[in-house]
Amino acid sequence: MSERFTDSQSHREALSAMADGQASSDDVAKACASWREDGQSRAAWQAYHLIGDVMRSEELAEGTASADFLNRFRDRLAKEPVVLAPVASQAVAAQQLAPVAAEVLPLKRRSWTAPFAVAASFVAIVSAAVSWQFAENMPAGVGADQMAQAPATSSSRQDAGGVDAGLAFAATKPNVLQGSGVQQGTSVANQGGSFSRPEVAGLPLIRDPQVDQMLANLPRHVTGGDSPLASQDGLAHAAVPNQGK
Amino acid sequence: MTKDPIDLPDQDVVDALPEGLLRSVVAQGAAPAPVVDVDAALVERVQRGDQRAFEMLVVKYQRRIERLIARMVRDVDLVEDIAQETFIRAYRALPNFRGESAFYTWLYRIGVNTAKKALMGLKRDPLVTEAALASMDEEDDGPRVENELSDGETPESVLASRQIAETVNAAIEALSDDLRQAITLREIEGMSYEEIAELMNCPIGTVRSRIFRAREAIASKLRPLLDTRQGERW
Repeated sequence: MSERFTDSQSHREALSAMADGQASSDDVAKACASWREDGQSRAAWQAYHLIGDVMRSEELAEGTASADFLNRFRDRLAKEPVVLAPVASQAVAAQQLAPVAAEVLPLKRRSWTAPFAVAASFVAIVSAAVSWQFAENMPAGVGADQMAQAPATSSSRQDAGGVDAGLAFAATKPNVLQGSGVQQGTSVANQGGSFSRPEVAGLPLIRDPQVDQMLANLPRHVTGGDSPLASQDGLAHAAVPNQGK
Repeated sequence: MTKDPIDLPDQDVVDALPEGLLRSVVAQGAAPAPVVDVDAALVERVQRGDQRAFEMLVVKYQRRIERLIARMVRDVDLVEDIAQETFIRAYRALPNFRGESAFYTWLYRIGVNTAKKALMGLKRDPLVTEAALASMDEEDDGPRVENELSDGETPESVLASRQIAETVNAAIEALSDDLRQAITLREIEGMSYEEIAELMNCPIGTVRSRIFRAREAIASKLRPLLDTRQGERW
Protein backbone atom coordinates (compact mmCIF):
# COMPACT_ATOMS: atom_id res chain seq x y z
CA MET A 1 0.00 0.00 0.00
CA SER A 2 1.30 3.51 -0.84
CA GLU A 3 2.65 5.61 1.94
CA ARG A 4 0.57 8.56 2.94
CA PHE A 5 1.65 12.14 3.42
CA THR A 6 2.61 12.74 7.03
CA ASP A 7 2.67 16.51 6.74
CA SER A 8 -0.69 18.10 5.99
CA GLN A 9 0.87 21.13 4.30
CA SER A 10 3.11 19.07 2.07
CA HIS A 11 0.08 17.00 1.16
CA ARG A 12 -1.90 20.07 0.17
CA GLU A 13 1.04 21.37 -1.81
CA ALA A 14 1.23 18.07 -3.65
CA LEU A 15 -2.51 18.33 -4.35
CA SER A 16 -1.99 21.84 -5.66
CA ALA A 17 0.67 20.53 -8.04
CA MET A 18 -1.62 17.66 -9.00
CA ALA A 19 -4.31 20.16 -9.92
CA ASP A 20 -1.77 21.63 -12.37
CA GLY A 21 -0.77 18.27 -13.78
CA GLN A 22 2.60 18.48 -12.03
CA ALA A 23 2.59 15.27 -10.07
CA SER A 24 4.38 11.96 -10.07
CA SER A 25 2.57 8.65 -10.01
CA ASP A 26 3.64 8.33 -6.38
CA ASP A 27 1.94 11.62 -5.53
CA VAL A 28 -1.23 10.37 -7.19
CA ALA A 29 -1.06 7.13 -5.25
CA LYS A 30 -0.58 8.96 -1.95
CA ALA A 31 -3.47 11.31 -2.70
CA CYS A 32 -5.78 8.38 -3.37
CA ALA A 33 -4.58 6.54 -0.27
CA SER A 34 -5.60 9.38 2.05
CA TRP A 35 -8.63 10.60 0.10
CA ARG A 36 -11.42 9.11 2.20
CA GLU A 37 -9.80 9.56 5.58
CA ASP A 38 -8.61 13.15 5.22
CA GLY A 39 -11.45 15.68 4.99
CA GLN A 40 -9.04 18.59 4.78
CA SER A 41 -7.46 17.09 1.69
CA ARG A 42 -10.84 16.69 0.03
CA ALA A 43 -11.72 20.28 0.92
CA ALA A 44 -8.39 21.48 -0.46
CA TRP A 45 -8.78 19.52 -3.73
CA GLN A 46 -12.27 20.99 -4.16
CA ALA A 47 -11.16 24.53 -3.28
CA TYR A 48 -8.18 24.51 -5.66
CA HIS A 49 -10.36 23.47 -8.57
CA LEU A 50 -13.14 25.87 -7.58
CA ILE A 51 -10.63 28.76 -7.56
CA GLY A 52 -9.38 27.91 -11.01
CA ASP A 53 -12.87 27.39 -12.41
CA VAL A 54 -14.15 30.71 -11.01
CA MET A 55 -11.08 32.57 -12.26
CA ARG A 56 -11.86 31.30 -15.77
CA SER A 57 -15.63 31.71 -15.56
CA GLU A 58 -17.71 33.15 -12.72
CA GLU A 59 -20.58 31.00 -13.95
CA LEU A 60 -18.75 28.03 -12.47
CA ALA A 61 -19.33 29.41 -8.98
CA GLU A 62 -22.88 28.11 -9.33
CA GLY A 63 -23.96 24.54 -8.94
CA THR A 64 -24.36 21.95 -6.24
CA ALA A 65 -22.18 22.17 -3.18
CA SER A 66 -19.36 19.75 -3.85
CA ALA A 67 -19.59 17.91 -0.53
CA ASP A 68 -23.30 17.28 -1.06
CA PHE A 69 -22.73 16.17 -4.63
CA LEU A 70 -19.95 13.80 -3.65
CA ASN A 71 -21.87 12.28 -0.73
CA ARG A 72 -24.88 11.56 -2.93
CA PHE A 73 -22.63 10.22 -5.66
CA ARG A 74 -20.90 7.88 -3.22
CA ASP A 75 -24.27 6.35 -2.35
CA ARG A 76 -24.84 5.57 -6.01
CA LEU A 77 -21.25 4.43 -6.56
CA ALA A 78 -21.51 1.99 -3.66
CA LYS A 79 -24.26 0.15 -5.54
CA GLU A 80 -22.13 -0.23 -8.66
CA PRO A 81 -19.90 -3.25 -9.26
CA VAL A 82 -16.23 -2.44 -9.20
CA VAL A 83 -15.11 -1.92 -12.78
CA LEU A 84 -11.86 -3.37 -13.99
CA ALA A 85 -10.23 -2.95 -17.38
CA PRO A 86 -9.46 -6.26 -19.19
CA VAL A 87 -5.70 -5.82 -18.84
CA ALA A 88 -6.09 -5.14 -15.15
CA SER A 89 -8.35 -8.14 -14.70
CA GLN A 90 -5.83 -10.43 -16.37
CA ALA A 91 -3.08 -9.04 -14.14
CA VAL A 92 -5.23 -9.74 -11.09
CA ALA A 93 -5.91 -13.25 -12.36
CA ALA A 94 -2.20 -13.79 -12.90
CA GLN A 95 -1.53 -12.75 -9.33
CA GLN A 96 -4.03 -15.36 -8.21
CA LEU A 97 -2.27 -18.08 -10.22
CA ALA A 98 1.22 -17.09 -9.07
CA PRO A 99 1.03 -18.70 -5.58
CA VAL A 100 -0.06 -21.99 -7.16
CA ALA A 101 2.74 -21.89 -9.71
CA ALA A 102 5.27 -21.25 -6.96
CA GLU A 103 4.38 -24.59 -5.33
CA VAL A 104 5.32 -26.53 -8.46
CA LEU A 105 8.86 -27.86 -8.16
CA PRO A 106 11.09 -26.73 -11.02
CA LEU A 107 12.48 -29.39 -13.34
CA LYS A 108 16.05 -30.37 -12.63
CA ARG A 109 17.87 -29.24 -15.70
CA ARG A 110 20.38 -31.56 -17.36
CA SER A 111 22.37 -31.02 -20.48
CA TRP A 112 20.39 -33.54 -22.47
CA THR A 113 16.99 -31.97 -21.69
CA ALA A 114 17.62 -29.14 -24.15
CA PRO A 115 16.44 -30.94 -27.32
CA PHE A 116 13.32 -32.14 -25.54
CA ALA A 117 12.56 -28.65 -24.30
CA VAL A 118 12.81 -27.39 -27.86
CA ALA A 119 10.51 -30.15 -29.10
CA ALA A 120 7.99 -29.51 -26.34
CA SER A 121 8.00 -25.81 -27.14
CA PHE A 122 7.41 -26.59 -30.82
CA VAL A 123 4.45 -28.78 -29.93
CA ALA A 124 2.95 -26.08 -27.72
CA ILE A 125 3.35 -23.41 -30.38
CA VAL A 126 1.88 -25.59 -33.15
CA SER A 127 -0.99 -26.62 -30.92
CA ALA A 128 -1.82 -23.00 -30.10
CA ALA A 129 -1.56 -21.90 -33.74
CA VAL A 130 -3.77 -24.72 -34.96
CA SER A 131 -6.31 -24.06 -32.22
CA TRP A 132 -6.61 -20.38 -33.09
CA GLN A 133 -6.80 -21.13 -36.81
CA PHE A 134 -9.50 -23.73 -36.20
CA ALA A 135 -11.43 -21.31 -34.03
CA GLU A 136 -11.28 -18.61 -36.72
CA ASN A 137 -12.74 -20.99 -39.29
CA MET A 138 -15.63 -22.06 -37.10
CA PRO A 139 -19.03 -20.76 -38.30
CA ALA A 140 -20.40 -17.84 -36.27
CA GLY A 141 -23.09 -18.48 -33.72
CA VAL A 142 -22.06 -21.96 -32.82
CA GLY A 143 -22.50 -22.24 -29.09
CA ALA A 144 -23.18 -18.50 -28.88
CA ASP A 145 -25.46 -18.97 -25.92
CA GLN A 146 -22.41 -19.92 -23.87
CA MET A 147 -20.97 -16.42 -24.22
CA ALA A 148 -24.33 -14.70 -24.15
CA GLN A 149 -24.99 -16.13 -20.70
CA ALA A 150 -21.87 -14.52 -19.28
CA PRO A 151 -22.55 -11.24 -17.50
CA ALA A 152 -20.94 -8.12 -18.96
CA THR A 153 -19.38 -6.97 -15.74
CA SER A 154 -18.52 -8.43 -12.45
CA SER A 155 -21.27 -8.49 -9.88
CA SER A 156 -18.96 -8.65 -6.89
CA ARG A 157 -18.77 -5.71 -4.54
CA GLN A 158 -15.69 -3.75 -3.70
CA ASP A 159 -15.79 -5.06 -0.14
CA ALA A 160 -15.25 -8.52 -1.48
CA GLY A 161 -11.85 -7.42 -2.70
CA GLY A 162 -10.57 -6.37 -6.07
CA VAL A 163 -9.11 -9.80 -6.71
CA ASP A 164 -12.47 -11.57 -6.65
CA ALA A 165 -13.91 -8.88 -8.87
CA GLY A 166 -10.99 -9.31 -11.23
CA LEU A 167 -11.44 -13.07 -11.49
CA ALA A 168 -15.16 -12.72 -12.14
CA PHE A 169 -14.49 -10.12 -14.80
CA ALA A 170 -11.85 -12.33 -16.46
CA ALA A 171 -14.35 -15.15 -16.80
CA THR A 172 -16.86 -12.99 -18.64
CA LYS A 173 -17.05 -11.67 -22.18
CA PRO A 174 -13.80 -9.76 -22.55
CA ASN A 175 -13.40 -6.51 -24.45
CA VAL A 176 -9.82 -7.30 -25.32
CA LEU A 177 -10.86 -10.03 -27.74
CA GLN A 178 -13.25 -7.91 -29.74
CA GLY A 179 -11.99 -7.48 -33.27
CA SER A 180 -9.21 -10.00 -32.78
CA GLY A 181 -10.68 -12.36 -35.33
CA VAL A 182 -11.62 -14.97 -32.77
CA GLN A 183 -15.14 -16.21 -33.21
CA GLN A 184 -16.88 -15.80 -29.92
CA GLY A 185 -19.40 -18.38 -28.93
CA THR A 186 -17.60 -21.32 -30.52
CA SER A 187 -18.49 -24.65 -29.05
CA VAL A 188 -16.36 -26.48 -26.61
CA ALA A 189 -14.64 -29.22 -28.57
CA ASN A 190 -11.98 -30.41 -26.23
CA GLN A 191 -11.69 -34.02 -27.25
CA GLY A 192 -9.79 -35.29 -24.30
CA GLY A 193 -6.22 -34.56 -25.32
CA SER A 194 -3.30 -34.80 -22.96
CA PHE A 195 -2.92 -31.04 -22.79
CA SER A 196 -4.85 -29.11 -20.20
CA ARG A 197 -4.78 -25.36 -20.59
CA PRO A 198 -6.85 -22.80 -18.70
CA GLU A 199 -9.44 -21.09 -20.80
CA VAL A 200 -8.13 -17.89 -22.27
CA ALA A 201 -10.36 -15.06 -21.13
CA GLY A 202 -13.41 -17.33 -21.00
CA LEU A 203 -13.02 -18.96 -24.41
CA PRO A 204 -12.95 -22.77 -24.71
CA LEU A 205 -9.93 -24.61 -26.17
CA ILE A 206 -10.57 -26.07 -29.61
CA ARG A 207 -8.54 -29.22 -30.34
CA ASP A 208 -7.53 -30.12 -33.88
CA PRO A 209 -7.22 -33.86 -34.62
CA GLN A 210 -4.05 -33.09 -36.61
CA VAL A 211 -2.32 -32.29 -33.33
CA ASP A 212 -2.72 -35.88 -32.22
CA GLN A 213 -0.97 -37.11 -35.36
CA MET A 214 1.93 -34.70 -34.82
CA LEU A 215 2.23 -35.78 -31.22
CA ALA A 216 2.29 -39.42 -32.24
CA ASN A 217 5.32 -38.75 -34.45
CA LEU A 218 7.35 -37.34 -31.56
CA PRO A 219 9.36 -39.50 -29.12
CA ARG A 220 7.14 -40.47 -26.25
CA HIS A 221 9.46 -39.25 -23.56
CA VAL A 222 9.01 -35.73 -24.96
CA THR A 223 5.30 -35.93 -24.44
CA GLY A 224 5.61 -37.61 -21.07
CA GLY A 225 5.69 -41.34 -21.71
CA ASP A 226 8.50 -43.94 -21.59
CA SER A 227 10.57 -44.36 -24.70
CA PRO A 228 13.19 -46.80 -25.92
CA LEU A 229 14.98 -43.81 -27.48
CA ALA A 230 16.39 -42.53 -24.23
CA SER A 231 19.81 -41.61 -25.55
CA GLN A 232 20.83 -38.74 -27.77
CA ASP A 233 22.01 -41.23 -30.37
CA GLY A 234 18.59 -42.76 -30.39
CA LEU A 235 17.00 -39.35 -30.82
CA ALA A 236 19.35 -38.57 -33.72
CA HIS A 237 18.48 -41.92 -35.26
CA ALA A 238 14.78 -41.14 -34.99
CA ALA A 239 15.27 -37.67 -36.51
CA VAL A 240 17.15 -38.98 -39.55
CA PRO A 241 15.99 -42.57 -39.95
CA ASN A 242 17.35 -42.98 -43.47
CA GLN A 243 20.79 -41.50 -42.91
CA GLY A 244 23.40 -43.86 -44.34
CA LYS A 245 21.25 -46.91 -43.86
CA MET B 1 47.02 15.80 -3.34
CA THR B 2 44.45 17.57 -1.23
CA LYS B 3 41.28 19.11 -2.57
CA ASP B 4 40.25 22.65 -1.89
CA PRO B 5 37.69 22.80 0.92
CA ILE B 6 34.17 23.66 -0.13
CA ASP B 7 33.17 27.18 0.82
CA LEU B 8 29.96 26.84 2.79
CA PRO B 9 27.88 29.98 3.41
CA ASP B 10 27.54 31.24 6.95
CA GLN B 11 24.37 30.19 8.76
CA ASP B 12 23.12 33.77 9.03
CA VAL B 13 23.39 34.06 5.26
CA VAL B 14 21.35 30.89 4.88
CA ASP B 15 18.77 32.14 7.38
CA ALA B 16 18.38 35.33 5.40
CA LEU B 17 17.47 33.49 2.23
CA PRO B 18 13.76 33.41 1.32
CA GLU B 19 12.07 30.16 2.22
CA GLY B 20 10.90 29.65 -1.31
CA LEU B 21 14.42 29.95 -2.67
CA LEU B 22 15.75 27.47 -0.15
CA ARG B 23 12.99 25.00 -0.99
CA SER B 24 13.61 25.38 -4.69
CA VAL B 25 17.36 24.84 -4.22
CA VAL B 26 16.72 21.70 -2.21
CA ALA B 27 14.12 20.55 -4.71
CA GLN B 28 16.48 21.12 -7.62
CA GLY B 29 19.23 19.20 -5.89
CA ALA B 30 17.12 16.04 -5.76
CA ALA B 31 16.29 14.14 -8.91
CA PRO B 32 12.70 15.06 -9.74
CA ALA B 33 10.18 12.24 -10.12
CA PRO B 34 8.74 12.01 -13.63
CA VAL B 35 5.56 14.00 -14.07
CA VAL B 36 2.51 12.04 -15.21
CA ASP B 37 -0.78 12.96 -16.85
CA VAL B 38 -2.83 13.20 -13.66
CA ASP B 39 -6.18 12.43 -15.25
CA ALA B 40 -4.71 9.44 -17.04
CA ALA B 41 -3.08 8.24 -13.82
CA LEU B 42 -6.36 8.55 -11.93
CA VAL B 43 -8.25 6.77 -14.71
CA GLU B 44 -5.72 3.96 -14.65
CA ARG B 45 -6.21 3.58 -10.91
CA VAL B 46 -9.97 3.43 -11.38
CA GLN B 47 -9.50 0.76 -14.04
CA ARG B 48 -7.61 -1.24 -11.44
CA GLY B 49 -10.47 -0.99 -8.99
CA ASP B 50 -9.69 2.19 -7.01
CA GLN B 51 -12.98 4.07 -6.65
CA ARG B 52 -11.29 6.82 -4.62
CA ALA B 53 -9.49 7.94 -7.77
CA PHE B 54 -12.83 8.31 -9.52
CA GLU B 55 -14.16 10.44 -6.67
CA MET B 56 -11.22 12.79 -7.17
CA LEU B 57 -12.19 13.12 -10.84
CA VAL B 58 -15.81 13.75 -9.87
CA VAL B 59 -14.87 16.62 -7.57
CA LYS B 60 -12.57 18.03 -10.24
CA TYR B 61 -15.12 18.08 -13.05
CA GLN B 62 -18.44 18.39 -11.22
CA ARG B 63 -18.91 22.12 -11.85
CA ARG B 64 -17.98 21.97 -15.51
CA ILE B 65 -20.34 19.08 -16.17
CA GLU B 66 -23.16 20.82 -14.30
CA ARG B 67 -22.61 24.00 -16.30
CA LEU B 68 -22.71 21.98 -19.52
CA ILE B 69 -25.97 20.34 -18.54
CA ALA B 70 -27.46 23.60 -17.22
CA ARG B 71 -27.17 25.04 -20.72
CA MET B 72 -29.44 22.27 -21.98
CA VAL B 73 -31.74 21.83 -19.02
CA ARG B 74 -33.54 24.53 -17.12
CA ASP B 75 -34.55 22.58 -14.02
CA VAL B 76 -31.78 22.96 -11.42
CA ASP B 77 -32.67 19.75 -9.59
CA LEU B 78 -32.63 17.88 -12.85
CA VAL B 79 -29.17 19.30 -13.61
CA GLU B 80 -27.68 17.59 -10.58
CA ASP B 81 -29.49 14.32 -11.29
CA ILE B 82 -28.22 14.29 -14.86
CA ALA B 83 -24.72 15.20 -13.69
CA GLN B 84 -24.78 12.30 -11.24
CA GLU B 85 -26.00 10.00 -13.99
CA THR B 86 -23.23 11.26 -16.26
CA PHE B 87 -20.53 10.29 -13.79
CA ILE B 88 -22.14 6.91 -13.14
CA ARG B 89 -22.26 6.19 -16.88
CA ALA B 90 -18.64 7.28 -17.20
CA TYR B 91 -17.65 4.97 -14.35
CA ARG B 92 -19.39 2.01 -15.99
CA ALA B 93 -17.79 2.76 -19.35
CA LEU B 94 -14.27 3.24 -17.99
CA PRO B 95 -13.08 -0.30 -18.84
CA ASN B 96 -13.61 0.66 -22.48
CA PHE B 97 -11.79 3.99 -22.19
CA ARG B 98 -8.51 3.63 -24.09
CA GLY B 99 -7.14 7.14 -23.51
CA GLU B 100 -7.34 8.06 -27.20
CA SER B 101 -8.90 11.35 -26.15
CA ALA B 102 -8.55 13.38 -23.01
CA PHE B 103 -10.68 12.14 -20.15
CA TYR B 104 -12.69 15.38 -19.95
CA THR B 105 -13.42 15.31 -23.68
CA TRP B 106 -14.78 11.82 -23.26
CA LEU B 107 -16.73 12.81 -20.14
CA TYR B 108 -18.14 15.85 -21.95
CA ARG B 109 -19.65 13.64 -24.66
CA ILE B 110 -21.21 11.39 -22.04
CA GLY B 111 -22.70 14.46 -20.36
CA VAL B 112 -24.26 15.70 -23.60
CA ASN B 113 -25.68 12.28 -24.43
CA THR B 114 -27.02 11.77 -20.93
CA ALA B 115 -28.75 15.15 -20.94
CA LYS B 116 -30.27 14.54 -24.37
CA LYS B 117 -31.51 11.14 -23.31
CA ALA B 118 -33.02 12.55 -20.12
CA LEU B 119 -34.78 15.26 -22.07
CA MET B 120 -36.10 12.78 -24.60
CA GLY B 121 -37.49 10.78 -21.72
CA LEU B 122 -39.23 13.89 -20.48
CA LYS B 123 -40.18 14.84 -24.04
CA ARG B 124 -38.56 18.23 -23.67
CA ASP B 125 -36.43 20.03 -26.20
CA PRO B 126 -33.00 21.08 -25.00
CA LEU B 127 -32.53 24.79 -24.51
CA VAL B 128 -29.42 24.86 -26.65
CA THR B 129 -28.43 22.74 -29.63
CA GLU B 130 -25.32 20.64 -29.46
CA ALA B 131 -23.53 22.69 -32.10
CA ALA B 132 -24.17 25.84 -30.12
CA LEU B 133 -22.91 24.07 -27.01
CA ALA B 134 -19.63 23.23 -28.68
CA SER B 135 -19.01 26.80 -29.74
CA MET B 136 -20.01 28.47 -26.50
CA ASP B 137 -18.13 26.08 -24.29
CA GLU B 138 -14.91 27.60 -25.52
CA GLU B 139 -15.98 30.98 -24.24
CA ASP B 140 -15.97 32.00 -20.64
CA ASP B 141 -19.57 33.22 -20.59
CA GLY B 142 -22.58 31.17 -21.51
CA PRO B 143 -25.94 32.19 -22.91
CA ARG B 144 -27.48 32.80 -19.52
CA VAL B 145 -29.64 35.86 -19.35
CA GLU B 146 -28.78 38.18 -16.51
CA ASN B 147 -31.20 38.26 -13.58
CA GLU B 148 -33.17 35.30 -14.87
CA LEU B 149 -33.54 32.36 -12.53
CA SER B 150 -33.67 28.78 -13.69
CA ASP B 151 -36.37 26.45 -12.38
CA GLY B 152 -35.46 25.54 -8.79
CA GLU B 153 -32.87 28.25 -8.46
CA THR B 154 -33.40 30.53 -5.49
CA PRO B 155 -32.22 34.09 -4.94
CA GLU B 156 -30.15 32.76 -2.05
CA SER B 157 -28.30 30.29 -4.24
CA VAL B 158 -27.65 32.98 -6.84
CA LEU B 159 -26.37 35.29 -4.11
CA ALA B 160 -24.14 32.57 -2.71
CA SER B 161 -22.61 31.97 -6.13
CA ARG B 162 -21.97 35.65 -6.66
CA GLN B 163 -20.37 35.92 -3.23
CA ILE B 164 -18.00 33.11 -4.09
CA ALA B 165 -17.00 34.81 -7.33
CA GLU B 166 -16.53 38.17 -5.62
CA THR B 167 -14.50 36.62 -2.80
CA VAL B 168 -12.18 34.91 -5.24
CA ASN B 169 -11.64 38.11 -7.19
CA ALA B 170 -11.03 40.15 -4.03
CA ALA B 171 -8.64 37.57 -2.63
CA ILE B 172 -6.62 37.57 -5.85
CA GLU B 173 -6.39 41.36 -5.73
CA ALA B 174 -5.08 41.12 -2.18
CA LEU B 175 -2.22 38.76 -3.12
CA SER B 176 1.33 39.94 -3.50
CA ASP B 177 2.43 40.61 -7.07
CA ASP B 178 4.46 37.40 -7.33
CA LEU B 179 1.67 35.17 -6.08
CA ARG B 180 -0.98 36.90 -8.17
CA GLN B 181 1.14 36.70 -11.30
CA ALA B 182 1.98 33.04 -10.75
CA ILE B 183 -1.62 31.91 -10.23
CA THR B 184 -2.94 34.09 -13.05
CA LEU B 185 -0.40 32.73 -15.51
CA ARG B 186 -1.34 29.23 -14.46
CA GLU B 187 -5.14 29.44 -14.27
CA ILE B 188 -5.97 32.08 -16.90
CA GLU B 189 -3.10 31.73 -19.39
CA GLY B 190 -2.78 27.98 -18.91
CA MET B 191 1.00 28.10 -18.79
CA SER B 192 3.05 25.20 -17.51
CA TYR B 193 5.33 25.50 -14.50
CA GLU B 194 8.31 25.56 -16.82
CA GLU B 195 6.88 28.42 -18.88
CA ILE B 196 5.97 30.40 -15.77
CA ALA B 197 9.44 29.84 -14.33
CA GLU B 198 11.01 31.19 -17.49
CA LEU B 199 8.67 34.17 -17.60
CA MET B 200 9.12 35.03 -13.93
CA ASN B 201 12.82 34.19 -13.98
CA CYS B 202 12.66 31.85 -11.02
CA PRO B 203 13.06 28.11 -10.37
CA ILE B 204 10.20 25.73 -11.04
CA GLY B 205 10.04 24.90 -7.34
CA THR B 206 9.40 28.55 -6.62
CA VAL B 207 6.55 28.58 -9.13
CA ARG B 208 5.03 25.54 -7.46
CA SER B 209 5.36 27.17 -4.04
CA ARG B 210 3.88 30.50 -5.14
CA ILE B 211 0.87 28.93 -6.79
CA PHE B 212 0.26 26.80 -3.71
CA ARG B 213 0.48 29.79 -1.36
CA ALA B 214 -1.82 31.81 -3.59
CA ARG B 215 -4.41 29.05 -3.51
CA GLU B 216 -4.11 28.68 0.24
CA ALA B 217 -4.64 32.42 0.72
CA ILE B 218 -7.73 32.43 -1.51
CA ALA B 219 -9.08 29.20 0.01
CA SER B 220 -8.81 30.60 3.52
CA LYS B 221 -11.14 33.47 2.51
CA LEU B 222 -13.49 31.10 0.72
CA ARG B 223 -13.74 28.67 3.62
CA PRO B 224 -16.41 30.60 5.58
CA LEU B 225 -18.57 30.76 2.47
CA LEU B 226 -18.10 27.10 1.61
CA ASP B 227 -18.75 25.96 5.18
CA THR B 228 -22.03 27.81 5.38
CA ARG B 229 -23.41 26.43 2.14
CA GLN B 230 -26.02 23.85 2.91
CA GLY B 231 -24.40 20.57 3.81
CA GLU B 232 -20.91 21.68 2.89
CA ARG B 233 -19.10 19.21 5.09
CA TRP B 234 -16.14 17.18 4.03
